[in-house]
Amino acid sequence: MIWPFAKPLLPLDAASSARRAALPRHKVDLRQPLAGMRWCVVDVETGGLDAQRDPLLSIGAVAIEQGRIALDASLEVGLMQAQSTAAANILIHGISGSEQRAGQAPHTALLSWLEFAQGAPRVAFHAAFDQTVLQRAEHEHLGLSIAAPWFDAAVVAPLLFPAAAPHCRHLDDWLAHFDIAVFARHGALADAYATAELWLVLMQAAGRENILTAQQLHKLLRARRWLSAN
Amino acid sequence: MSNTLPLANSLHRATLDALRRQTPFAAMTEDEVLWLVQHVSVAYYARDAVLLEPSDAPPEALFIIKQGTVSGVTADGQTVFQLATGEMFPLGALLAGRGAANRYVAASDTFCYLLPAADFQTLLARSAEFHDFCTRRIASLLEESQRAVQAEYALALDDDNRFARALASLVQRAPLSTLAGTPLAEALGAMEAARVGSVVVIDEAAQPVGILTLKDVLARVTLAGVPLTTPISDVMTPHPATLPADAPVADALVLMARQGIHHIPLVRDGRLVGVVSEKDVFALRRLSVEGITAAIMRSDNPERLPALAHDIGDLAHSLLAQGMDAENLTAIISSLNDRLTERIIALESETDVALIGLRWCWLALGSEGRLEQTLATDQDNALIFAAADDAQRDALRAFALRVNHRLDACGFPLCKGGIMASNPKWCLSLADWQQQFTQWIDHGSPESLLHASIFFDFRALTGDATLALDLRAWLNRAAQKNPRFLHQMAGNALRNRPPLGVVRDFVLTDDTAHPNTIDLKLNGATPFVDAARIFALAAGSTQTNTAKRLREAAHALHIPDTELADWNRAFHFLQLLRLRHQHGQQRVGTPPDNHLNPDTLNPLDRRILKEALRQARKVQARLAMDYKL
Repeated sequence: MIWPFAKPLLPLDAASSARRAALPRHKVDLRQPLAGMRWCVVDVETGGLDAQRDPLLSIGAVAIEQGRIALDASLEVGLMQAQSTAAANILIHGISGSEQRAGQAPHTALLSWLEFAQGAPRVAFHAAFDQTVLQRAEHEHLGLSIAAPWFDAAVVAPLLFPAAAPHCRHLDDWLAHFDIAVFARHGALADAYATAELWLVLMQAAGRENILTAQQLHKLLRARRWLSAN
Repeated sequence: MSNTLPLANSLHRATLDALRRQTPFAAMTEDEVLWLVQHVSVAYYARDAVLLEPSDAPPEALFIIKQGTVSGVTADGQTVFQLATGEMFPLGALLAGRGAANRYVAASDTFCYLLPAADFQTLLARSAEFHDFCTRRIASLLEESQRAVQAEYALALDDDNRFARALASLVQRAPLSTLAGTPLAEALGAMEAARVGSVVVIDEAAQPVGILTLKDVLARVTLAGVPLTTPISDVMTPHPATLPADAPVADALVLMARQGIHHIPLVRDGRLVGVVSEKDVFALRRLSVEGITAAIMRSDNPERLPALAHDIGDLAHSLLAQGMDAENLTAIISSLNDRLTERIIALESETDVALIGLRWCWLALGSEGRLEQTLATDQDNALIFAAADDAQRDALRAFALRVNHRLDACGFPLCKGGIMASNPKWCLSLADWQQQFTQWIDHGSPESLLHASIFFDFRALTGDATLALDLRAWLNRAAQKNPRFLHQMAGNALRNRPPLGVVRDFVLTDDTAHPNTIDLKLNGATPFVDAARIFALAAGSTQTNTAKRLREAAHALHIPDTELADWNRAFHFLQLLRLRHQHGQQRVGTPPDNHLNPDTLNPLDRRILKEALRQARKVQARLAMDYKL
């Protein structure tokens, strides 16, 4: 997709401009060992199932550092909406109209997200959706096109556990398969956290399969054409 | 604490809520747990992965098991314990700032929260509850469990609905009554003879017209100087409050409280049928140690003693419900059983002319000797005497047999192994006992060691205690002179391993009569009892009680106070579990035993049980070290 604007629709205030300028630009070396990699596991909530059109409502993310999920620095931001979305989605996400309107301004929320994620490879379950929504919003509100690598847990899991794949489609299936107890779900952060626990299991399994770097994993996924984007 | 924290998000809250369902986080403040949550990270360990290696360096983090199972493995590859969800390790190493002694391996796929060591120290300093739990972990688990038990028993007591019973059910004897014209001397004499606190004055139709209680006598007769020839009607309380015999007990409680009276005549169709006293009602509400003791001492009729033995069981129940600890509870049960046995012995010996002039002493053995009786106790007793001819020996045995049968009727079954004072083998003179003990000490066979474990806990119950004291002093000298014997006893004690499991938490018995259980007595309490006995014999102590033996030994063996406290708590928790288990069985009418299925325990008690058995291992390790086994 070609973005029509090189700059955000609305000019940023000075503080936000400074934050945008301070965002790290270095590329992450994917050849470092998987175990030492910093991963950013993310999930988004949107106003519908159309990644190109429906508004981004909230972002939840946790970081995995040195093979551990750090709980202190987890991210949970809601995006303020000009008008709240249809009642149907409120039922799915449990985010009421007033909560939607009470979030942060979209450009502030997205700055928080990018400051949290830094250059780390992103991990999500059905990552194509989250990737499209976030990249669209980053461009729209910040005028940025960030080229961070994305990894899809929904693709990696069947690759490493082919025997379980036929009966595991959704995140809940995989969590149940690995007997991972989760807290209340269906918030962006709770889903990101559940995905992160799944990712810990997957990274251990990758090591056993002699996949030792993120680059090896990336190549493997590409070679099998299981990676949908990038 | 919270003002330095990032704002809590939904993940922090969810983690907080999950942690606070577990001990010790349930007792900590929300701020403290939130602080913990915001300082941990989550790690995953696939089955067989090593979480922590034994090392010389202090561990870098505290592990809290989020889900899964972790095994502790010794240097020689033995799995010595398993930790489950909610448990923390390596507490000892972190507290002492030393390396972990064991290797920790994931027994199943496991997620853990990791708290960096520096943050662990901070939390210890900030949270009194957390500090308490970590430093006295068995103690705090126990307190937690005790609260749960109290709540459970309080409910059970309500269920009994005892205050709805009819008052008539409390009446144990015909009322003492007299006519209005009876002289005081006669009425008071009748009260004394019947050993009651009141006399009801009735008319010709047997309707109560007045009451006189012992309390009234002081003010109205003694202090007032009224001659004892005065008719009772002059000093009685006229028109006493009465209740129908089928009224509920609760009515009597209310009436007594309102009118400040202690005796209520019961009527049926207006006629006197009985009297209830405050004591009767209160006995129902709370049997007291003093009350039962007094009733036992007062009793002249051995036929009534079984009912009092039953009261001892009821009292144990109510004390258990009030949360009394096992050490005091077993001591109370033992001392009441002592009183009961003493009373039986007195009733059987005082009237036996064949015993006149003989010096003898009744010995309590086994758990009664140690003052550690639970509810499932058969008899273990013996007799020692100074000197006696054959006829006198026969008389002693005949007397002992009567006592054994009386005890049997009181719910202490005859000993299956025949360890009773009526058995000629165990009714011996001081010299014979010394010879028998010498034989066991010199012989050291399994049978000798078994006998030693029962008989060497002897304690004088009643009779001439100097005989028992002489035997104890002699035994201590003999045991100390024979280190080989103590070594054999230690080796024998160590063969009984606490049933901590490798695959599951516990090793369950292969005894088909009691499938899926562990024997709380043999595999739980006995390791402590055996070790304590050996420590006491080695130190020449005269104590027979396990906790007291351990306390004395700890001093002599330089065992730290904290370790000693953990041993005793563990031992008493096992005793408490036995009591609760046996009580539960008695309530449903099954004979009490010691076979507990650990799956029937709540998760907290299961954890404490594991911890208690771990302490049993520690005691054994100490024994093994002392005797180089």
